[in-house]
Amino acid sequence: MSKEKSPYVYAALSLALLIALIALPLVLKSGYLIHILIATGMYTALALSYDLIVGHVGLLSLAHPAFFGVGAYAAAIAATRLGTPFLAAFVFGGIVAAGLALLVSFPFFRLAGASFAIGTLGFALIMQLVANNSIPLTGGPLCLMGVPRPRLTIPPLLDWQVSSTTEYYYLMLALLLVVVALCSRLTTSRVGRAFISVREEETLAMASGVNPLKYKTFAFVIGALIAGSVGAYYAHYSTVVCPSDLSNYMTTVLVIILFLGGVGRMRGVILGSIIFTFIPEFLRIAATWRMVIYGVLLLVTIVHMPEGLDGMLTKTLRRLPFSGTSARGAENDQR
Amino acid sequence: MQTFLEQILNGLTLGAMYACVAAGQALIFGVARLINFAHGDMFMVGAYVFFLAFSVAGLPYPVAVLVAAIVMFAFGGLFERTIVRPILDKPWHVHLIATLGASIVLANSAVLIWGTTPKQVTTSYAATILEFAGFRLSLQRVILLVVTLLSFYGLHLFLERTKTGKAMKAMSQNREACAVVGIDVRRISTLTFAMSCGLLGLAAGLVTPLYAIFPTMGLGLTFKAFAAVIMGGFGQVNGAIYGAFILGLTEALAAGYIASDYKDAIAFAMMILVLLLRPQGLFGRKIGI
Repeated sequence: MSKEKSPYVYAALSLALLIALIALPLVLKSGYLIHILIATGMYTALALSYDLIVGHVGLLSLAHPAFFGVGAYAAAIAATRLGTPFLAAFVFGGIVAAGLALLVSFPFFRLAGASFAIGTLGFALIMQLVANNSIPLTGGPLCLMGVPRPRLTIPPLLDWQVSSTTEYYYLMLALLLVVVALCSRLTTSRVGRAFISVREEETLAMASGVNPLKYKTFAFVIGALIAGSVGAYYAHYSTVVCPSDLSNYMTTVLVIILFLGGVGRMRGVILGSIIFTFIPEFLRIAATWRMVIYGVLLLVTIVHMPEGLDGMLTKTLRRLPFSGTSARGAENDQR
Repeated sequence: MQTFLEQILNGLTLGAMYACVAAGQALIFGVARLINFAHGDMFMVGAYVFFLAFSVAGLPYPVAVLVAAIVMFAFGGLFERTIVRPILDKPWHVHLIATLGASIVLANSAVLIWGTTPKQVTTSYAATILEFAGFRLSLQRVILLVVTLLSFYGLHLFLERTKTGKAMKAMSQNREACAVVGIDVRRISTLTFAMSCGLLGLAAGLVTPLYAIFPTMGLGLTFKAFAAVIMGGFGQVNGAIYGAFILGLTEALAAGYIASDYKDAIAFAMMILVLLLRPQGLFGRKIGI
């Protein structure tokens, strides 16, 4: 966005935002609000990881809740059955999800377009059925309960027993920062450009020495790794994992966040996550009404505003008389 | 043997319901090249229309079924005009997202209007048990099977014999060429949606007395219809109908003999296997309905 803006302004803004995020729970003091912030953080991380797959390499996967859920179950089972400490369980959750993604990527990447979407959807449905029915492992519809509260121990440095909502918030914030850093590093690097080239024109990408399959697999596995890690966090936060956590509802919300916020645009995805998880909870709009409104918004945006809220905002900002570039410049900037 | 025959019958009933949803889905995909994520939700709308006509307004059963079919016919046409037409020339992922949006709106509006409690519609036919050779069977199931098979035969004749039906077949093969030779592609597209939804209304009227209806039933049906459509080969109406019956029978037999908890998983696994191993479907042609 900014050749004119100095990098210092950008860094200062980020720092201010970070300080605001750290100070937030001290100001809010309401457990409910902090809980919503945690949920928003989880959805932001999930949406960013989903965007790596959908927005950057252009694979409309509908399997994301499966990876989130597998991560959550793996971490919960490790923590309850084997007494694995938090950090190990957390990493385990992410790795199991990533491993599963790698495994299913072999058959699914043979499918193109709509078949890929429907195939991954079938996979997500099967995973939910497995969670519901393999009772010895997951507890089935009665849920897997009693996941211990996380205790972070890195021997000489840190011994932190997370128990209050505020502490969970800081743990979430740390996780989110890692995810944001990872995603922005990935998408602005050579790898990110390779992702985009695969999305835009596979043949051309191949001609310039980019192996599409490799980058698709990479994005898919990293996306699942993040989703699984968020799942592992979720298991330790709610202390219960249920088969309903793997439901398609999550896909729906993620699709809404991405396509309304702006697919393939980090700022848009973050904006979308805030608008579609924090605001409705904050205003306490009934879930059913919320979904009706989202559905209508989704229909309207996909037809009239394919670049989402972020795309629209960027255009509007550039058209303002005081912003350095003219409207004409903005037109030229579009891809 | 007794239970085996009963499971087969359950499978056929289930298959008939899936077939009505899948046939419409396949027709729409064939003619308009659109994957309709809201198709199951439209079935749900049809079921509630039937519920209103039969249980609330107290119309006689055959009239209520007809009302459901006619209302859904109009609904399908309207859906095509308002939601599908603006996106028809856009890429497939836009279709998927837009119809997913429509599905969310339909399901949640139904929750707002009718609540989440399932509704049960009972007809005297469902209570009438026919018995022959020690084998029991409700009249409602017989009606369901006979009427759906007749309507599929009617659909088949329509596609093969009438000018409009032939235009649909032609459009499923080459849309541009159809426009060139003067077929009104927009009218055909609207009619395709109207007919598919009319079929859903009819099916809803026949099936509702057998299963409870609830606002979120649509998504599951959409997925089952996808599975049937994929098994039959994308966009082939006959294939989708066979696929739906195979799916229904497999589910019923799996529920009876393997594990009822995993019957849905088996259905989706079959779908994925067909996608991977025989992407052209079990019965093989590549283009056309």
